[in-house]
Amino acid sequence: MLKEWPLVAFTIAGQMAVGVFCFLLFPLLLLLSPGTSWSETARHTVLIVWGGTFGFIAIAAALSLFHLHHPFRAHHTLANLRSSWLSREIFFELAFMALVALAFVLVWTGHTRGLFLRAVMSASALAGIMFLVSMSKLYMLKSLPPWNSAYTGISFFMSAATLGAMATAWVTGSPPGNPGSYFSALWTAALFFVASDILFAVLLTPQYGAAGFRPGPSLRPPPRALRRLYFGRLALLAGGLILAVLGMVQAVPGSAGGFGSTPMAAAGQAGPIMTIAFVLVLLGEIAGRFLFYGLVPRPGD
Amino acid sequence: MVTQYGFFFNAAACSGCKACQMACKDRNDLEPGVLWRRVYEVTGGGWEKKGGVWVPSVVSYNISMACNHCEKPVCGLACPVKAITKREDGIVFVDTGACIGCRYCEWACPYTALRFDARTNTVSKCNFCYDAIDAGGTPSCVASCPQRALDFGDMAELRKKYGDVRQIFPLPDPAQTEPALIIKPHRDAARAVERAAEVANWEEV
Ligand code: SF4
Ligand code: SF4
Repeated sequence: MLKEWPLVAFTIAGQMAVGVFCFLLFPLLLLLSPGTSWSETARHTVLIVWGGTFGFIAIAAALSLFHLHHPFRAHHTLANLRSSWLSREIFFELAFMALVALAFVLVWTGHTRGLFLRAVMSASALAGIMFLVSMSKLYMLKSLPPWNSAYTGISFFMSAATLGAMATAWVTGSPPGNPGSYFSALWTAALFFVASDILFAVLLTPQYGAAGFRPGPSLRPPPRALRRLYFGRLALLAGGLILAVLGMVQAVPGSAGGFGSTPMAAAGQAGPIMTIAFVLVLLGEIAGRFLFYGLVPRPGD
Repeated sequence: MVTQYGFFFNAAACSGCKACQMACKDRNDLEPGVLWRRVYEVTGGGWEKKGGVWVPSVVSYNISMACNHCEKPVCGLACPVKAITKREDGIVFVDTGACIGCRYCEWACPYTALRFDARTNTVSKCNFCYDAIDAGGTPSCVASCPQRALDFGDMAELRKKYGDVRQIFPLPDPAQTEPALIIKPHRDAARAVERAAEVANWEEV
């Protein structure tokens, strides 16, 4: 299971990148009509977040090479788009990377007024979502009952939503408790996603969830005991959730003493409590991904 | 002309001696831990009360399993670089010169036929001893079985000779891959599920 660390890193980083991109996209598409010029602050924020998104997806791509035993043959991976979800996943990942890079360049060079940027942004989001869809489909194999359920897709999209909302709010330094700001509303959304993530995990995790799981006949060895990982994941997510709620409760709008209050946002910080909450949730997602791979041991390993 | 080679396995005759497993390992010079053919020991049951008497209810049989050179080889459909191909006679091959070692096909194959080979840094699996077949010979596993529990041939012929059973517990649903495999079930196989049978030798397979 620990051997699968490159895949854990690849899937988590890839999902977070798509989440971040999409969460920043909404306000840009909705609030900025074509022809409106962007404020310097908006441009600055977009460049930082999209630069980060591109960095994350590039790191994800680089880490995925560690999973290959012949990385120098990796350029052939698009050869089977007709039937392999793995080929399709790589295709959409590359498309997402290229489009995010193009959007970044357009904003950087000041081409923010025209429809072209909006088209590129929408296409990037679509490629990102298809990247997540193909990532989910490639694991939903009939041969592997623990993965062949809707929970695989649900958990991947939940990771993208949870980490995307938290990371965007954290990076933009948006203050929780500052009503009216889209970015601070993201903290509320993030709390909702973390809570949903916990609920889905409690209900649907194969082998450990309340919904139960019937593995069926198989020539694959049963997974080793992963109970600690399962409960560890829940504890980390719950810890992150509680801390983030505390951070939000303390962050009275305009008060200087609250965590993540306006002065911190001005300094580009989300506050220490929110930072720890984000780290806990990230660790929870990583634990969940190791659990996911642990459910399907490879015979002979 | 053969259009689909396949294996026949007689679970009622197999004694679990693993001669097929070892013959395959020997012929293909496989590293420790790499098994192209494996013998699964399936056991379950215990005692049950019939009337006032306790009688044994043990189920126990063996399954010798390699790649089934499936008619719908999901391994090849999943491979991103098309390193797994099917010959005209149905034999499914891994091209180790093209494989990138992503090991995705290992997950896709419900028979766990693909195994990672550290010598080539690629996956590997049963190749039906194609060189022996092309020279008019017999796959090593088939030749080595002292019980004559294994046979091979064109699927059309095998079906005529042995029928069309392709699944016993705990093999997966054959609809997943259409395996080129015919089985003569052991009599215990019908009661395996009800007696909570399981594979007893995971460490070996
Ligand atoms: S048994 Fe597995 S490896 Fe062999 S052809 Fe079928 S799916 Fe592929
Ligand atoms: S391990 Fe090799 S043969 Fe298997 S899917 Fe990857 S590239 Fe294809």
